[in-house]
Amino acid sequence: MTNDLVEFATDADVIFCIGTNTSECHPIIAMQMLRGMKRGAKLIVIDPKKTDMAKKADIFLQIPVGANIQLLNTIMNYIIQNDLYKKDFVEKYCHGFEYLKEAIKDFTLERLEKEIGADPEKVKEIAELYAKAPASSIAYTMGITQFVDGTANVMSLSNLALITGQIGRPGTGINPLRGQNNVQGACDMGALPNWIPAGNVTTEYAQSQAKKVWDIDLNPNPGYIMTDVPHHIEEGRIKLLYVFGENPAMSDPWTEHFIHAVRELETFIVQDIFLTETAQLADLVIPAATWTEKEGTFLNTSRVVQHLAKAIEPVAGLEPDWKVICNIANIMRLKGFDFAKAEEIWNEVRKLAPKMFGGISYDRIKKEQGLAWPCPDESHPGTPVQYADLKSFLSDGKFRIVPIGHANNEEEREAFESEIRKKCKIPEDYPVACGMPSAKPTKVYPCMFTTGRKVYHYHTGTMTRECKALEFGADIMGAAIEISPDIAESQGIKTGDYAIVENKNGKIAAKVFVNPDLIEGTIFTTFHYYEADGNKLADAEHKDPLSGMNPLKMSIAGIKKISEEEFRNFRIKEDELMHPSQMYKKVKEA
Amino acid sequence: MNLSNRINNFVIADPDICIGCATCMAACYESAYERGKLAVPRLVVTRTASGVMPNQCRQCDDSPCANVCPVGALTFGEDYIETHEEICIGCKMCTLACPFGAIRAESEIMPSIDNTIVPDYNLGLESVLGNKSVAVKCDLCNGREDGPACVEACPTHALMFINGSIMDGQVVSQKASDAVESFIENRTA
Repeated sequence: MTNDLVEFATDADVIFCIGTNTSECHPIIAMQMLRGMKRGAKLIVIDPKKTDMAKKADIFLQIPVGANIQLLNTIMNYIIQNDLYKKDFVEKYCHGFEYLKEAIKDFTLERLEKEIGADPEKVKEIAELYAKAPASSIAYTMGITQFVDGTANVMSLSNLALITGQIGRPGTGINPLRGQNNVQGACDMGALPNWIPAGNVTTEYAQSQAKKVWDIDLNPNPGYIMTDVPHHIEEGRIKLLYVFGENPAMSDPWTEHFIHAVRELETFIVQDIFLTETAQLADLVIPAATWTEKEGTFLNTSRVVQHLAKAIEPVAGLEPDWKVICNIANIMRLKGFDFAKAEEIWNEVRKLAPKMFGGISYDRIKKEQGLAWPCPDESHPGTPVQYADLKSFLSDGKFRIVPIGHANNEEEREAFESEIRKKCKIPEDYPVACGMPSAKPTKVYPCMFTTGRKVYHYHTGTMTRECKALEFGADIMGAAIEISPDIAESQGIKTGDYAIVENKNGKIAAKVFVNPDLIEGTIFTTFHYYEADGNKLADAEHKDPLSGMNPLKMSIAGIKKISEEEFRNFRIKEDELMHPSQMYKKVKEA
Repeated sequence: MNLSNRINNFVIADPDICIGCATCMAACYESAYERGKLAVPRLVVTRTASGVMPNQCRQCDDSPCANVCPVGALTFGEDYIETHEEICIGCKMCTLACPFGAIRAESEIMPSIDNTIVPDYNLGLESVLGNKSVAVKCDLCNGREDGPACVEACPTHALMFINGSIMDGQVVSQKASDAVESFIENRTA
């Protein structure tokens, strides 16, 4: 996030939520937003699902799955055509405004209404509210990123904030709400194929820092992206996979492919606190310590580094993850893993990336209850509001406005991008992006299929489904397939019936819940339940060219009613597939 | 006649503040389990076209459920409608009589059965479960020292515990004086 999450409560005048089911997926942030609304802030929600926040919103616009670029371009075109943009900000601090203006001039309100059925009056209202407010804040999550045009979606949001100057002040900014308490930290620390704490491995700075601190010549080639891993295993390029704190057998798209691929590994190691669906496929399972048994830091969605104290000693002589990694490295006789405690590792991070973390010492985060990066020295107060100096991270300090087009399908992407380049006279080294749907309903698979979360479970339920108060208390619904009323009617399916949802990647079966909150023609399910994991049907073939993200939120599928008998048989087979381990049964019985 | 002595206590949520996080349901489950009751939540976060909030027993003073119960499993207590799960026969008349959908027939999965090994038990199929049902509804966490667990757990303070004196003072008297004051002020202005 460019801004702190508390600013929704204290500073924002308009909160623009797109592709986020905030109260179910980020309840703490939703609470801050509601506090803001009590103060007088206006809430805009844009989503294919009429979420709980949509029902509280001042304006709710329901759009089809994956229609973000069309909508955002139309909003921006309206803002530009009606002179609602900040001319002085654009001129002084940005590049590329003219390109954008030219690239999106055909995105009219009439065209949008024709293409996605959005009410022009509502779109106008959203544009005016966002552009005119003293401080407007954008919040988004996976409904923006998990598409083949995910990065283009994010750039569109950044364009919107830039042309209206809604950045660099409290209560403004572009705010991806990160799902885990430490997902921002994992990225900053280098749990990405192209990153070390000092930055992108291809940069000279990262290279020189690696030499200085680690005394190694850093490989300048980025590693494999995660979504390509099953493919690389099958082609024999990956022989060993070491997974920890993750359950990819359920969280990765096209489950069947993943399960098939990991069987071809020479060695498969999983480190976790429970015998997850993934761990049951492993050759070696290393038990891990839980978060209450570990000491260290979290780096949250607001870029705040916080200290986590250990509550209890790890049971059964277990060691924290960092120690396990160090032990393995030491057995391999690698240099530089002689850490005695987590603080020493953090201090190495500070040395690697002094501009970001240099001033964030253990003493300070304990005393000041967390500090936001960048924080270059110990007298620096941290940076809750990024870009307050209105300078970007790029060498010339200016922000880039990226012209974004919209094609009909992925094949057209490159041709379309070069067409925009030609049409708007954009030089070759300037970024251009393009959005497009990755799937369109067909005769065989006539419904859009998308996934999401329920408030009471977290991701694949590794921990939450083991918690009885959540599994049997908060969650009385269980695994369900949610369908829009028009599908229910055309297929003759009622709430409580059993149904099977199928596409070329896989099939799932569960009880049906007819949900009037869904936009027409849409099937929705979660990825919490091994019994009916939505990711089984997700598209693993198509990818965002920049991030490698699969379109997890956009697939097509067909649905068919089945009998109770058929459902039982399906479920028993599903259980055998997902829980193959005899050990699992033994542990469970004991 | 003092109102505060004559009405039942109850729990209710403010839908404007509720974010539907279901923490109340988890707390309710814990409380029921700890007090040796059937371990199921007694309030249900209900999503509708216009919004979300937990739905639970209103502890009606002349409650249809207690009136209809043939065995005395639901009785008129001093300040709420008491439940006696151990004598419930599972006739479900209270479920039919309740105007709020706040009392339902529930059964617990046998603790010795692990649904990850015996998946049938997790299917929710009545034919497979074959358990006797019991009527469950909010009993205001009777026996719990700190009062209703849901109110304590609610992170947004959307859930409120209301008793006679709160009703009398903060709700009725306060609203009455606000209304009278506004009437008089507007009239003289």
